Amino acid sequence: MLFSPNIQLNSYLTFEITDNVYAVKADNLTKIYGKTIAVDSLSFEIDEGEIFGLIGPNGSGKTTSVKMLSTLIKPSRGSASVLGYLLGKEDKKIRERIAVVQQIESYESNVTLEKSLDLYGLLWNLPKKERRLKAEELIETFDLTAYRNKIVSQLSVGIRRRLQVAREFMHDFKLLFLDEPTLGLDPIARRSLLKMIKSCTEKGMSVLLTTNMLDEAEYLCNRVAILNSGKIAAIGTPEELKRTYGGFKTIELEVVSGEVVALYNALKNALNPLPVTTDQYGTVRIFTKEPSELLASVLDIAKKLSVEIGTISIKEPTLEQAFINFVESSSVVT
Amino acid sequence: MNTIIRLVIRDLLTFNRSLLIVQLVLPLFLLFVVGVAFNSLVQPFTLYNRTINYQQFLAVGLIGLTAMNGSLLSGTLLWTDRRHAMYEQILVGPFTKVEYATSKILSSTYLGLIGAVIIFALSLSFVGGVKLSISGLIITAVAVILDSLFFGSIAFIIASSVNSLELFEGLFNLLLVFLTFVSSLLYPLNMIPYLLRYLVLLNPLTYSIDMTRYGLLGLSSSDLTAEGLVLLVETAIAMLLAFHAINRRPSE
Repeated sequence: MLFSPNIQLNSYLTFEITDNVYAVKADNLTKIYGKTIAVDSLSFEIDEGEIFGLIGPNGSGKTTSVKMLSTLIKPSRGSASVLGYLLGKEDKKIRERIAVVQQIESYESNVTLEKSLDLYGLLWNLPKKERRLKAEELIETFDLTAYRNKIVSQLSVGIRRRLQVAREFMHDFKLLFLDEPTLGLDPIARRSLLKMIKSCTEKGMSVLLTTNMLDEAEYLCNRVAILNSGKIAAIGTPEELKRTYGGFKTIELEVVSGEVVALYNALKNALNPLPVTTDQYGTVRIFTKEPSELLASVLDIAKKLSVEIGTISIKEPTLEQAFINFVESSSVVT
Repeated sequence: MNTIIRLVIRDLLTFNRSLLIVQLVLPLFLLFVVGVAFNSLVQPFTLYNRTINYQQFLAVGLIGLTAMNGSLLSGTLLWTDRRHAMYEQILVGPFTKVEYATSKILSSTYLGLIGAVIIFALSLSFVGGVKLSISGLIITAVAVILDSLFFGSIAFIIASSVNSLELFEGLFNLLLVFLTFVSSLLYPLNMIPYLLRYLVLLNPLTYSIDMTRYGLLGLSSSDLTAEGLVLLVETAIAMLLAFHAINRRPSE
């Protein structure tokens, strides 16, 4: 069943998983521009209902991959099917079933926000009454009420981005491409848009998200692939990638009273070769794979030095840390 | 609703309304400044067995010029889509490139026709000399529609090929000046010097203007059917080139 917003608010957030067709199945997909290989032998599958992330540094081939899979550019080599339709042979069928939020800003400049939603619905051949109801619903869901009568080109980038995401929900689709949807947004606008995307995506829709904001991928995706120099270098759930490449967990000690430097030096000597750091705010950090094994001896050292610890926290490795470790080491996992 | 119609409706709802006024500036200037000034300078003259004044001669020709001007200006429709990334957004929607190109050419034609109708009404009201007949109006309509389709296609080719607004505007102005003066708009074809006449005969605007003058004034410099055929072939070629241009166009 296609993603189909009904009339009632939020009723559209329901998806039906059909037979064993992958949302995306790429097989050695390659794009070459002149002598540059932008995407190199990309092979992966996205299950129906899965939120899949392509993460990677700038220029790693994320947008080119989206452009190929959304039929905008032709692959130089390889093949892919999108929603069971063959790329290059059934492009129109694919386009009729996907929604794409491009990395670049895209909008109708001369019309109001409300009219722009209506026009997008018209392009997707929605009847007038349905367009009006859906626009109304999306304006509310995406918190755009205050801007509905404003000309789109006069709105801030953040509001236009929100509109760019919202308008895709005007029409039916089975797979949503989100190509760096929060690019250029301030942290508040970004968080707000991510929450909106999350609420729309957690009901079973298939999504391909590209981003170099790793917390976004961690927040939204079931699985992610790390793209590096056009190749998939690692693939797995965020947890798996963090486990494999995340490295150390962090024990964070907030010193309330006593000699921070003395504690730092003592820990450094005692725990060598584990990395220990401190900062001007009186926080000491110890990086280790097994924090629970160290905790007792750390507290013992603090007690001996008469250092009072306010709070102790253990922080898990982030996907960002895993990603940085991975890219810096440039190791490749198959 | 048909995909092309949906795209045309979108164009007509989003295009910059000031284009409608801009496309009329040159024809109105020619009609009410150049036409009036030359009318006092040039005595009424006999052309193809009919005596008319210069303003009447010019006014009917301006219908074709306005259609051309409006259609060329409508190249900005594609340019605006490219600038705001709606070009790519539409092409990841349920449309083909040919449908997109066709819609843009039809939108240009429609906008060109609006201007042509306004100038026709003004000519009828203020200048006179027009002989209205059903067959004459049909010939005029065919000429103006082909004229708009041709120049709409040319505008589409330019807008899809150039990558800077400055170059697009430069080419537009160059084309407008060249096509206006190297045509039978300002002077009858049989009075144009021999070599220049070849250039004038390559210009589709010449045929559109000649057909319009035949339809509304009863003047014709040559075989009407041949003129219609040349215009039709040139229009078909221009449209094919426009489709070719969008198929060759890489993603932004």
